[in-house]
Amino acid sequence: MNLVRDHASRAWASQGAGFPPVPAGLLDQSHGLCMRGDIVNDVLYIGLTIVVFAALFLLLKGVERFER
Amino acid sequence: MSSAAAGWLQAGLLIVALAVCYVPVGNYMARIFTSEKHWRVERGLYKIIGVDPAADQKWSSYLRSMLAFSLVSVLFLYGMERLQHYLLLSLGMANVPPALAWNTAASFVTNTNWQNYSGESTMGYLVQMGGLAVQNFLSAGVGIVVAIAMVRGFVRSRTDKLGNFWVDLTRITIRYLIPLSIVGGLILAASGVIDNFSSYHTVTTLSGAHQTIVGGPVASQEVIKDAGNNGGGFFNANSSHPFESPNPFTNWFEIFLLLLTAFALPRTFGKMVKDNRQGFALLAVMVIIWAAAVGGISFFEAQGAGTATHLAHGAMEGVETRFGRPGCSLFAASTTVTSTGSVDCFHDSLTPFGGGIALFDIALGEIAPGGVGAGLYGILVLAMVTVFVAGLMVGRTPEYLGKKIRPTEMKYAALYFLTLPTVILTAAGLSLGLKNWPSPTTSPLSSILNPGPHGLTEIMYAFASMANNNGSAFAGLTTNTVWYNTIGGIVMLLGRFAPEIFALGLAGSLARQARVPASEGTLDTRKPLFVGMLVAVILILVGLTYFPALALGPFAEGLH
Repeated sequence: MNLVRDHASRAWASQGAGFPPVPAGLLDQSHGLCMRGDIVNDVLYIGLTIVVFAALFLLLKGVERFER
Repeated sequence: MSSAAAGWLQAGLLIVALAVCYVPVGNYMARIFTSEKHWRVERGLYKIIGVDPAADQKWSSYLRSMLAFSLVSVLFLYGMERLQHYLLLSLGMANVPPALAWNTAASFVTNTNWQNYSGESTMGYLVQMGGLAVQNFLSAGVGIVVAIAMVRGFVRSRTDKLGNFWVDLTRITIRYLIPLSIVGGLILAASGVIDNFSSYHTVTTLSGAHQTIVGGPVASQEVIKDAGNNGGGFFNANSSHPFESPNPFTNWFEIFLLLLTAFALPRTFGKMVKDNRQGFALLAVMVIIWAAAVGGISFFEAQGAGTATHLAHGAMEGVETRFGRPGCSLFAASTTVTSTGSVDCFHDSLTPFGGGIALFDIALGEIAPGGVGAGLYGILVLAMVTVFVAGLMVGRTPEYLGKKIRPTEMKYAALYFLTLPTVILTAAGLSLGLKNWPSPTTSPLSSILNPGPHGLTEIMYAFASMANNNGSAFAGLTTNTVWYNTIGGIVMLLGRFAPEIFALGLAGSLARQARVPASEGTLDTRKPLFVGMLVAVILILVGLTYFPALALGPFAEGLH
């Protein structure tokens, strides 16, 4: 049976690393820190982190009190 | 060789390899935590961070150190993701959006590795290596040291000191996790897992289409992903991606890595309490539940239903054909009974009962063998519940390893056990209940891509996976939304740290007690009777807690 593929030619050709590797939609969102909405969100999420850990520290304090 | 024979061979070799490693790895970890000597590099680190390695901490100070360390880790990782576009090796990737960056930071610090993103299109190499992989080491280390602090609660008497968090974390990272990762990484690289810094290449295929070929330092991070029970894939397809796991050997080796430490820790426990048979008893419970999970998922995946399934000799949808159905079943069971969460096939495509077992495994609370460390302290809490129940049933004195199980200890155990169902069911209930908020098309309910019981399973699985720090996704649920990123991050943080507070509170309470000698009325916790009772207590507690959700989800779908 004859093979369809021509072995003399390369199976695939690389476009190189310069070809955009990442979906354009994602790259287009860059420089997020320049956007005002993102800064507000950063403050909110950093605040949320502190609130959750504060709740955990309070829980720990409550357990210490229960221990006494 | 038939598919079934290959499956048996893989499982058999896995059991042999884990059995061979049980004693040396377990003993080595016990030596790490009992040795008086500090290595030179460790002393240097203590000097830099200003820690006195000789100072033991009270259980609450130990916890404060752990929580403070984790808080800083979340903020640091969040910052790295938000600034990734400006960092080296970013590959031109955008800064990660705030909600996704926060979810990912909480996820990796809690050893969950739930991923609402595709690694290859969202994270640059520096964030993967210097942010996510660093947390793969540290979060695994935190889990192990909390378990060791709990074991010290049994070992020590008339004290409230449980060791030094900074010394324990430094030692387990430098003496165990890093060397293990170097050896494992070399084995993976030699077996064909890629490890490079090359940029992505776009090629033209035979059909003329463009395809992107990704690169990355994968082998060096794949190893800790599995060995640390983390599970976050370098690529979206996780361990079914040919660059993460190129052949059946790497698939087997990754399963071995994700079970190695968790199964060796009972030996460490036995060694530290100076009674290896206590470790064997816990190991027996873990092996029974793991074997049942592997057998159950394998059975249902082999059965399937319908002409296509029978022609393919099993349910092949979502299964990576290089590994086959047995490789998928073994991986799925092992990744869900530990807190790993990496996958080599897609759990959403498991048969209803196969997926139901995966969900049940996660709901067990990752105790058989569980996450590195988290599994050991989880099963120790349940062992105490079992001793207490045995005491009520047959009039035995409720004591475990020479420590009395009093109302105080039972309160800690109850709080520990109730935390996870509360977090999981509340988050799942809210997501199901918010039908029209903020709008019918963007509500949490609209994220469910499958209607009916399968959709319920998807949402239950997601929150059980997040709260139990597993991280595997059932898929079929659009979770990269503000709601799921935010509530998911909260669920992961509470699911990880709140039980640890109760576990260490319990350890502190045990450490303050004097040891009581075993008497006629003491239940021998090294015997098969105790092993059977502990298995029953685990199954009954989890079964009763999650039965309604399991009945309405996978059972209803499977029996339909």
